[in-house]
Amino acid sequence: MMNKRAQLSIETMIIYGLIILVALSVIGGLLYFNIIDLGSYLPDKCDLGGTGDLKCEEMSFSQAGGLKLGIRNIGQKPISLLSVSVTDNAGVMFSPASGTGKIGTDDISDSKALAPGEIASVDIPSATGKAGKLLRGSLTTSYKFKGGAITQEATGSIRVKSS
Amino acid sequence: MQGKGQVSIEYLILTGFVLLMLVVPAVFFLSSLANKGVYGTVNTQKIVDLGNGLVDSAKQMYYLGLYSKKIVEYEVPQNVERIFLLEIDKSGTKYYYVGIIINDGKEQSKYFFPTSVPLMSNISSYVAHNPSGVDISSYVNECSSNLCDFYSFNSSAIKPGKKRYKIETRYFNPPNTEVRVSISPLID
Repeated sequence: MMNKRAQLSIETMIIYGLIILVALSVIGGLLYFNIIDLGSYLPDKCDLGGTGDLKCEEMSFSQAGGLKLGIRNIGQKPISLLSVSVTDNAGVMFSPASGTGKIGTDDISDSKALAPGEIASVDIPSATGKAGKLLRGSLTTSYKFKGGAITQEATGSIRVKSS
Repeated sequence: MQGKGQVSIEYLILTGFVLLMLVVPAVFFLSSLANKGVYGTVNTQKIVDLGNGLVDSAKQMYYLGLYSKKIVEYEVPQNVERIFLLEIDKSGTKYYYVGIIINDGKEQSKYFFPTSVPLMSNISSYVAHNPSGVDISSYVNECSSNLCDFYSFNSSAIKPGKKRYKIETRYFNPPNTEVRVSISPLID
């Protein structure tokens, strides 16, 4: 009698286990084929990569206004050239687009360099979103230190929900 | 009784097999994700530490004066394609950079660390001066329109792991009196 009940328990546990496995497999399949997107529940993220001289601190993405970024110079040297190009990895919302850095309304230049600690705005109006949809994209940032000779490039990523 | 025992064992074997089928791809998937995320961040930090470390030490030695010398140790990151000390002559003005090129087989990333002090290196089996097989303009676009002079670190000097570098201030080309900072890898 005891033996029989133990066997029943084991079998019940195995069946439970199998049901859990099947459920997990279904969820895994839905995630893998992008039928459900858990990324849309994650907070927005913007990472410029590179040597860490620049930090993307602000971002907004909308159907009407396009992509707007706030990029701070966290390095030790002023920056005299800044441009950002963005690619939609899924290629659904927009074609690769780019914008240049501004301080207020002025373009960043040798005479109006982005000082360490200052923040620049980069508007990319042609990078238009679809309301409620998530953009997973690549960012390529080109920048040059004031008085430097090389235009440096950094590759990063962005994940932002469109409004 | 015997038959039921067999059914149980079969259940267990089947469950084990299904688990194996799920766990193996999951391990591959998660390790590739971890490689892209955590490993990428750690490698980038090593690049930044190496570049900024060499540049800062060079600056310190330059301003301490002629024949100042120190030995530093930094970790060379993974997937280094090239490390070089570069001088760009742009309309008579010279600019100096430490360049680190990373290539993980999928993409190439370039990191340049500018410095205001003039750089050079000791030519050895680990350092070549303007080697003929290296097209510097493929790494630095500006070198296609400006004069570039570079010292390229190679073989063991770019392999991952801790490396020591001798940083010293000395005359560039005696009897020339120009003083430069020499950065040379020390390989035992």
